[in-house]
Amino acid sequence: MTKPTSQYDPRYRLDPVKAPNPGARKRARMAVHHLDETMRRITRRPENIEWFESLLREGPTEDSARPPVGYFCNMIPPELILACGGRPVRLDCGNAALVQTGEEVLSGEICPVAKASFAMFLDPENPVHRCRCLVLPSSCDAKRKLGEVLADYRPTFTMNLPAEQDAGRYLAAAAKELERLADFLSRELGTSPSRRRLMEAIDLTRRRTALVRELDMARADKPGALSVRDFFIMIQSSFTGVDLVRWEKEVGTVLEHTRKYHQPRERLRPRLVLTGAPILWPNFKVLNLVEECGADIVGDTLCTGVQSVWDPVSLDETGYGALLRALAARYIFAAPCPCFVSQGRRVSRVLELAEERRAQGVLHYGLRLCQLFDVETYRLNRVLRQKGIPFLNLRTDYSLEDTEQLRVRLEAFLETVEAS
Amino acid sequence: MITAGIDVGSTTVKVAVMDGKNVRAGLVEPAGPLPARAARDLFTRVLGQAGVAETDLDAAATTGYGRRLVDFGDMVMTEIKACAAGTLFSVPGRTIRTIIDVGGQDTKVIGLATDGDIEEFSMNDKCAAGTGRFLEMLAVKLDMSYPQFVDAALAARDTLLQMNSTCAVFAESEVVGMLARGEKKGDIAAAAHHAIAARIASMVRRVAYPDHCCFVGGGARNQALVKAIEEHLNAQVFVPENPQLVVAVGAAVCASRKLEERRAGECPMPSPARTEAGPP
Amino acid sequence: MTSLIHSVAEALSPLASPFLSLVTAVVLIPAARQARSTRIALARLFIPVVLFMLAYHGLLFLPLAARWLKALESPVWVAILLVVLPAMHLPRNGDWRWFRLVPACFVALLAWGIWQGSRSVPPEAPRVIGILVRPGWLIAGVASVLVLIQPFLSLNLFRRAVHITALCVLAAGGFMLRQDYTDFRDMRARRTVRRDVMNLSETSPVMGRDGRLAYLPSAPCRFSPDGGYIQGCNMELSQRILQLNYRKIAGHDVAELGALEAVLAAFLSFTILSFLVARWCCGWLCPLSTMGDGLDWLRHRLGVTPIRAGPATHAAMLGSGGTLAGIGLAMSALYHHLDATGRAFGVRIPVFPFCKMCPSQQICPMINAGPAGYPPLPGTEWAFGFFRYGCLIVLALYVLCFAAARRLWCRFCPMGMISGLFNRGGSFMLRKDAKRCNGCGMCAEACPMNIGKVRDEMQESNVSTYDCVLCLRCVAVCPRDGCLALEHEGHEVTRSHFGTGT
Repeated sequence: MTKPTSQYDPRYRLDPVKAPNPGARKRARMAVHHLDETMRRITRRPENIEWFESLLREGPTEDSARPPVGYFCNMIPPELILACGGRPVRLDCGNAALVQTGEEVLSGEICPVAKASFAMFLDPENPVHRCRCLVLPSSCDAKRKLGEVLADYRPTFTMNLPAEQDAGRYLAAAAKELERLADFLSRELGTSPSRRRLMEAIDLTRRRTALVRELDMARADKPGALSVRDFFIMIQSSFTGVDLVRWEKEVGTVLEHTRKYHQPRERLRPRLVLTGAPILWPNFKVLNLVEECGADIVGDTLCTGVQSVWDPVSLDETGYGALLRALAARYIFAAPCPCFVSQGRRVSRVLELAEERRAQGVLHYGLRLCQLFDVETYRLNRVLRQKGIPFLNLRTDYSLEDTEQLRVRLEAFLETVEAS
Repeated sequence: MITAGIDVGSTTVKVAVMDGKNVRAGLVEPAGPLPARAARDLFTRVLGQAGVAETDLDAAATTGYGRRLVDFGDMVMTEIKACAAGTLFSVPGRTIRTIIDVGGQDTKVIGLATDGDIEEFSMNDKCAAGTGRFLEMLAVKLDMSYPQFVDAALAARDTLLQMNSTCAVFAESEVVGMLARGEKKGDIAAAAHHAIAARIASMVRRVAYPDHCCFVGGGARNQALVKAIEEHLNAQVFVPENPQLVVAVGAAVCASRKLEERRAGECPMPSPARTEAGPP
Repeated sequence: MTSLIHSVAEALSPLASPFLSLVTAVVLIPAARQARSTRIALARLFIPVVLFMLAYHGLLFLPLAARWLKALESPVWVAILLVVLPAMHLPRNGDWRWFRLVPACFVALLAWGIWQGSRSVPPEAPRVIGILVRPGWLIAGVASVLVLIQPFLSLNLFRRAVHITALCVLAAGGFMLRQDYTDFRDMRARRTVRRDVMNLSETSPVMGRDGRLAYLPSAPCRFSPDGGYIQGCNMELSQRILQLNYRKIAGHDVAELGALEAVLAAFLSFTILSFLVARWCCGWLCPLSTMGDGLDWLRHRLGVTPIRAGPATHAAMLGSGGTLAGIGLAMSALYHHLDATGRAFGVRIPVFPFCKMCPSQQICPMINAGPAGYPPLPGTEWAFGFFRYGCLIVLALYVLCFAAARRLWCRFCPMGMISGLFNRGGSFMLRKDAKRCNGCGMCAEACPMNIGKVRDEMQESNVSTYDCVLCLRCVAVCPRDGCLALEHEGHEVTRSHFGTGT
C-alpha cells in the first residue's frame, strides 16, 4: 500500500491552542440552563425526555469499548465508523457562549457553527479530546477550513465531495472517497470494515430512520402530542455516540406516548414547514419563538432535524464495493445541504412537505454569515410566492439579543398566514 | 362601532379613536420612562377629546413595541399589520404597493399585494442608522432645533456633500469633522437625509415596489426626508395627513373588523365586559 | 359431469381470443381508474365478455372467420383477461375479496383438471412423468396462484416466484405438461424416431447422444408440437415470415396460403401481446434469463460486486446481437433453395438458422434429459463452421454475462431488441414523480440494464426506456414514497415506498 499523503502539511503544524476558561464554561452552562428553563414551560413532554437531554448535556454515560470518532455534517456515513469499530459522535455545536470563545482565536466573520465547534477544542477538559480522530466533509467553506485548523488537535480527514449532486457522473468517485475514508479509519482505529459489520450498521441506522419517520408522521397529525423541540432533542441525541439499540427503545416509548395522545379539540395553530440552516441544541431560539408565538412546526428539511435521518440506505447488491456505493448514494447524493450545485430537489422537498403536511406557511431559518442558505432564499421565496404559500426568512445567529425583533417578524408572518 | 387603537412605541405613544369611517380623535405623546402609564393617561385623554365614555367603547387594540405592556387592550397585533391597515384606510382610492414607516427607533418597509395583503416586509430594528433617532441626534450635534434642521436640509437639497458613516454613533464624529472643515450646516443636514433616504430606498427595492409608495410614521413629517426619498426612488411618495397616527388608526380599524367578523360569524364570542354593562 | 365441464370450457373458449383483450381494456381500465367498487368493475367486465362470446360463436359459422379465430387462440388469454388484468386494475378495497373468487375458481379448476388427468391414465400404461391438463386451465391456474399470493410477498420475492413458475412452465413445459394421455403417448412415440433432416413443423430437433431426438422445450419456441403454450420468440416468427415462398402465395398456392394465415395470426397475436407487455416478459418470464439469474444469485451470495459495463460495451453488445440476428434471418430467407440434403448453393444451412445459435438449444435439452441431452455441436460443414463456433461463443457470452455482469446479455438478445420497441408506447409505463426524488441514484445502481434515465430525468414523468426490462428493482430500492411507480394504462400497479427490509 502506498504511503498515504497527509492532507495537511506537517511542516506547518502548530501546537494546538488551548485556552481553559472557567468563565466560558460557566456561560456555556448558562446557555443550557436558559434553554432548560424555557423548555420547562412545555405542557406535554415525554417522561423519558430527561434521558435524551442528558445525552446532549454530558454524552453517553455507558462505558463503551468503542473509541469515539468525531464527525461533522450529514455526509459522513456513521455506518462506516461503526463498521470500523468506532462510535460516531457528531461535533456540530450549538452553544451560543462558545461562539464568542471561538471568535477569540478564529475570525469573527465565519459561520457560528464552525466557531462554536472549534471552541470545544480550546477547552482541554471538553470530551471532544477523547475522539480518536476526526472526519469532516468538504461541504462548505467553513467545514473545509475548519478541518485544516482541527488537524492540529486530532488526526483529521477531510472527505472530498463532488460539487454537483449528480449521481450519474460522480458516484464512482464518491465511492472511492469513501474507500479512502475507510482506509483512514482502519488505520486510526485498527479495524477494517467488513461486509458483515457494514450491513449490521446499516440495519441499525435503517431502524432509526423507520422510528423517526413514524414519529414524524404521528406528530404531523397531532402536533400537540410532542413538541418540535423535544423531537429535535431526540433526533440530535442519537448523534452523540449513544448505543442505538438503547436509543431505539427509548424512542419506542415516546412513540407510544405520542400515539396514545388524543387531541381534545381541533388544533387551530398555524402549521409551518421549517427549512434552512442547522438548528443545533441548545440553540433552539427560533423553535422556542415559533411555539411561543402559537404556531406548530409540522415538517422540516433541516440537516439537524427529521430530514437528517429521513432517507434510509437502500441496498441492492451487497458486495463491499456495492455497499460503499449505496452509502455514497444515500449520504452524499441525497444529502440535504445547499453546498451542492443542484438545488431543485431542495425546493421540491419543501413544496412536497408543504402539500403533504397541509402547511400554511414556510419558515426559513438563515444563519448569519452563511451565504449558501441566504442565496437560496432568492429562488425559494419567489417559487413559494408563485404557489401562493407564505414565506418568512429569519436571518439570525446564535445570540439571543435579537429575540424580540424575531418575535415581531414571526408574529407579523403568522398574522399574514392566518389571514390567507 | 367605536374602537380605539393604542400604539405603544418606545419613543412616543399614540392613541386614536374611531367610529366606523372617521377618526374621532387622535394624539401623540412622548412615552417617557413608563410607556404603559403614558399610554393609559393618553388613552383617557383621547377618549375625553372624542367625547366617548370608556363604557361606550366596543374594542381597544394595542400594538407597537410595548403592546403587551398595557393591560387594557382587547386585542394585540403587530405594528406591521396595523400599519398596513391604517395606511390603506388613510388613502382610500389610491393603489398603494409599498409602505415606508420611519419611526423613532426603527424603520419598516412593507410590500403589499395588489389586493392589499401583506406580501413581504423588512425591518431595520437593530441599528439606529436610518431611523428618526439618527436625525434627532444630528440635529442636536448641529445645535439646531429639529424644524430648523429640516428646513436647512430642504434648502441645501442639491449639495454633493456625502456622509460616509453607516453607524449613527460614528456619524456624530463625522459631523464634527465636517464642521471643522467648514462645511455648511445645511449641507451636512442634507447629506444626512440623503444617507438615510438611500438606505430606505434600497430596502424598498429589495422587498417592495418603488412606485405607489406611501410614507407614514414620525419621519414622514420631515419634508426633507420625503423629498430625499422621492429622489432616490425616482417616484412620487404619498404622505397621508397625520402620518404618525397611522399605526394607531390601523389598530383601531383591525379591531373593528375583527369585531364585525365575530358578530357576523357562527360562534359568537362573549362580548367584552364593558359593553355588557350598557348605559345606565 | 365431465362432459358438462367440457362444454362449458368450449363455450368459454372465445376468451382465448386477443380481440377480447382490447374490448376489455377499453371497458375495464376506465372502470378501475375511477376506483369504484370492484363489483361494479367486474360487472362492467362481464357484460362485454358475454356479448363478445355470443358474437364469437356466431362468427364461427363462417369458415374463414372460424379458421382465423381458432388460429388466434392461445391458452394465455384466459389468464390475462380474467386473472392478470383485473388483478392489476381493480381497486384493493373491501370488494377485493369478491374478486378473489375468480382466481380461486381457476385454482380449483386446475386441481380438478390435474386429478382428472392422472385418473385418465390406463393402468397398463408406462409411468407418466408430468402433468396432464389442458393448457388454458394450467396457465390460468398458475397465474391465479401467483395473483393470490402476491399481497403477502415483497416485490423482489414475488418476482422470484414468477421467475421460477415461468421457468417451470416454459422450460419444462414441453415435456412435463401435456394435454391428455393421448398427447403424452404421441410425444413419447415421436421421441423414439431417429431423424436426420429437419422438418418445417419442428423447431430444431437435436440429436441426443443416445441417438434419440430430444425436443426443445416450449420456451420460447412455439412451433414445436411438444409445447408451444406461448408464442414467445419473435425471432422464430420472423424466420417463419421469411421462409414463406411469396411467389407461391402470389400464385394462390393453397398450402402456402395456409402457412401464411398461420403466420399472420401469430404475428397479430404477438403484436397485441407485445403492446400489452413489451419488455416485461424479459424481466419476469424469460426462462433464459431466469436460468442465468441462477449464476447471478451465486455471484450475489459470494458478495462479488457485478461489473458495470459502460455505454461503449452496451453499444457493442447491441450491435453484435443485431448482426447475428441479421445473419440468421438472411440465411432463413434461403429456405426455398434448400435441397433434400439440407444444402443451399452447396452450403449446409439449417432450416431455422437463428435457433441454431441460440443458447437455449444447448441448455434446454439438458432439462429434459440431463447431461446426456447436451446436443452434439454442429459440425464444421454447417456454413463453414459458423454455427459450430458461433453457438459456442454465444453460449460462453451468455454464461459470462450472467455470472459477472447481471443482465448485460439482455442488451445482446435479439428477442428483447424487438420487444423493446414497444416499451415507450405500450401499456406499461414506468412513472417517476420527480418532485419526490432525492437524487440518491440507487435506482440506477440497482438497474441490471444500467439505465441512467430513471435517475437523471427530472422533468417528464414517463421514464420508460427501450432497454428497460421492467424488472422493477428500481421501484423496490427507491427510498422515497411514491417516487417511482409501474403503471398499466394509466393505473398504478405498484409504487416505491419506504420499507424496513432490503
